Amino acid sequence: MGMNEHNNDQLAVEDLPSLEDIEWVEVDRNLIVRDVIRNLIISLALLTLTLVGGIGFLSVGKAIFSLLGTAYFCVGTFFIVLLIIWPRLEFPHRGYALREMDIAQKRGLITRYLATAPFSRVQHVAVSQGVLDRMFSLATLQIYTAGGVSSIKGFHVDNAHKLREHILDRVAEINLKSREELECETDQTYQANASRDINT
Amino acid sequence: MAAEQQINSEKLQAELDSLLADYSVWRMASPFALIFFFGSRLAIVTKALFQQVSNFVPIVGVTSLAVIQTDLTWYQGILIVVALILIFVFIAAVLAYRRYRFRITTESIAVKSGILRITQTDVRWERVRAVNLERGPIERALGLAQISLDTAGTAEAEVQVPAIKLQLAELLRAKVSMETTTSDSIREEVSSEGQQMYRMSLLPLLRASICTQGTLAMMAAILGALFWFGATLYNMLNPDDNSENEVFWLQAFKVAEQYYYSFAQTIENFVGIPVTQSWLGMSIPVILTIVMLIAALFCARAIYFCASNYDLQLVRRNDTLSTVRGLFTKKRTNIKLERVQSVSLKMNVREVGLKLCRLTAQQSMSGREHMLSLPSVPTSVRDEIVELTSREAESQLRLDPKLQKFQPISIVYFFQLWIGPTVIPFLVVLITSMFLHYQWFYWVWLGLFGAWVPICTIVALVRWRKAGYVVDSSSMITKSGLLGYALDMGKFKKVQRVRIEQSFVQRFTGKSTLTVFFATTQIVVPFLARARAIQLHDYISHVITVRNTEWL
Repeated sequence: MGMNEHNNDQLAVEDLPSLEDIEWVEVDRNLIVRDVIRNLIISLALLTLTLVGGIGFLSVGKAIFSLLGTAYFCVGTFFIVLLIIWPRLEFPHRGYALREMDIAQKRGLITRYLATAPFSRVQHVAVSQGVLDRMFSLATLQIYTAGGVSSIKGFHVDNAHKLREHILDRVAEINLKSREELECETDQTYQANASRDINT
Repeated sequence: MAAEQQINSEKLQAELDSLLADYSVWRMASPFALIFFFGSRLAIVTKALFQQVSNFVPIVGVTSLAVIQTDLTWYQGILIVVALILIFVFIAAVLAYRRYRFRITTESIAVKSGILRITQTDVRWERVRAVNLERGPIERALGLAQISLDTAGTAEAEVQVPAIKLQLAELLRAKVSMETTTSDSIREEVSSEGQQMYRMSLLPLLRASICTQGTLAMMAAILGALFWFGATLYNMLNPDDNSENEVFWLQAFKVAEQYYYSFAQTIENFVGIPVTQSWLGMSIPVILTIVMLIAALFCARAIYFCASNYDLQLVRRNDTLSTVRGLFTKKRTNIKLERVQSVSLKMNVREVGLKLCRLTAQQSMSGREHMLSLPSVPTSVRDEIVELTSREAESQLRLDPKLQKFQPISIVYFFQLWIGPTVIPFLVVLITSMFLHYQWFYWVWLGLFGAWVPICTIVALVRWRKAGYVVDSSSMITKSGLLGYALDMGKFKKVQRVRIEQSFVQRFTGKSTLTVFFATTQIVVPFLARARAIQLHDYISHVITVRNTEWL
């Protein structure tokens, strides 16, 4: 039912520029190292627990406890290893795409996120850097809309600032254009853009 | 008149430009801004302490421990803790002040702030709704002001610049208010010629008050206050009990014990049931007390509700809907139909039975003054309002759980709802029963399969059957609920951003969760086929691009 009603205003949904055809751009590779270090700091507590707990169990000397101790060690080690290789595994699933009217991003290894922030809704853009980020000259781009923030991790700090400038310029451009043009004209431009997107 | 205004604005612009010449580079705030940093950080710490029990409890615990272990009195202990917090906040304020930089140009205002994590925020003037000035006594004496920007939405990103020259602050405010002098309906008065759509008389008001929910948090707060009061009273009545160093909740416990014992005695004397003889009997006064408290709270809430919603009127004038209500203070809320971002409808069990519903329509800026909320009104009023908003949105959808046909959600959603609460208890019972070999464990198994699993299955089934969504060319509605209903309606042209999520399970079944963010709310469609979600996303992007300026 919903499907057919899309055709109310005479446009084929298949012809719209789709998220499926996006060519994703990788973020900075330093992000892997940065995330591994962050995870190592987090896992220090886990590491201590694993060692203390495992040795504690093993030192009791009874058969059941040594079994428990080994299991404890295995589970703890598994999680620590997971924390260390996670950023590497997740990296190929991270990406962003700067499009004409919006910026799209994807991330996540198990739960995969796919999100877009349209430029015409952007309120302001911020670049944020934590302590670890500064060590690897990375930065997070935060795009604020009235409906929340969408943040993209792992840009080189220069790129982040460049991108921020670009988005702000785009926002200003779009706002100016929409103020001047009539709705139908915008529609025509959009259609032209859409057809160009399809052709290339 | 217009020419005069023109000259004024030009004069203002020139004055502003000359002032801004100093501000177009990154600047540190004036040293007096330290007061602001100290104050705002102190406010955050105090708020965090009292808002969350988890923050407050360890501090109280450590203080009590320290006081018990050492010779310090309570007052000294509290004083030391307060002093430590103040010193910590002061150091944080100095660090924050040293890192803070701001820059004001004709296009935008930018702020760099943070102690460990430095954040740079850039706000373009055209996005700013209002510049708010705040002046404390010291700032008034020095001719300074603190400005904070209202940017409609994202509250966490609001920009604050402390201790700038008053003249500059005033000029910035004038500049922004001149740029946004569109006729704002909020300040307009509702004239008498408006068409009255609904007026709540006394009987419906009482009926509606039954439908409001008593909050548990309020109950807990009052219970806590009662215990506190009792403990203080006990403390005052027994001054030589060495109770000064006793932990507070032990005192509270003693008071409660005394109270319940005397209550039980009264029951024994008047009703003749031997209550004080057993542990089970003593639970009767406890249960009775709780029931009485809940009843009292329910009445108090109902009275408050009736007073604040007394003589509720819904008036329509052209494209503006207004409500007027209140017994002592009349409150007026106005919303513009074209500004409505999302409409939500809620019905609890009582309301389903009484054919009533709660309706909220939100404008772009959240906050109570900008929200139309109708408590437990008849469904006919809802139909009228929905008709008005739908006509504006060119939508044919109806915000009605019964009349509107909804698309069902995939059956995987049912399994997701069902597996969590059944499989985990099952595993826990299974593992425990491997170690415990008591007779009563058969009852646990019986309870699990006789009651828990069937209840969970029914709940999951009902929630899955009630969930649904529907889309047309201009808006969407989602439906959910267990006993009652919750419906959310949003217009595509008001969408802020879209997110598609795929969990592990969803990836194998080709489903995804679509979240559509509005300025006021978010609408979530669970277990939507991924291809369909992407299609919807593309369509929404198209609408956003075409109808660029219509989101406000």
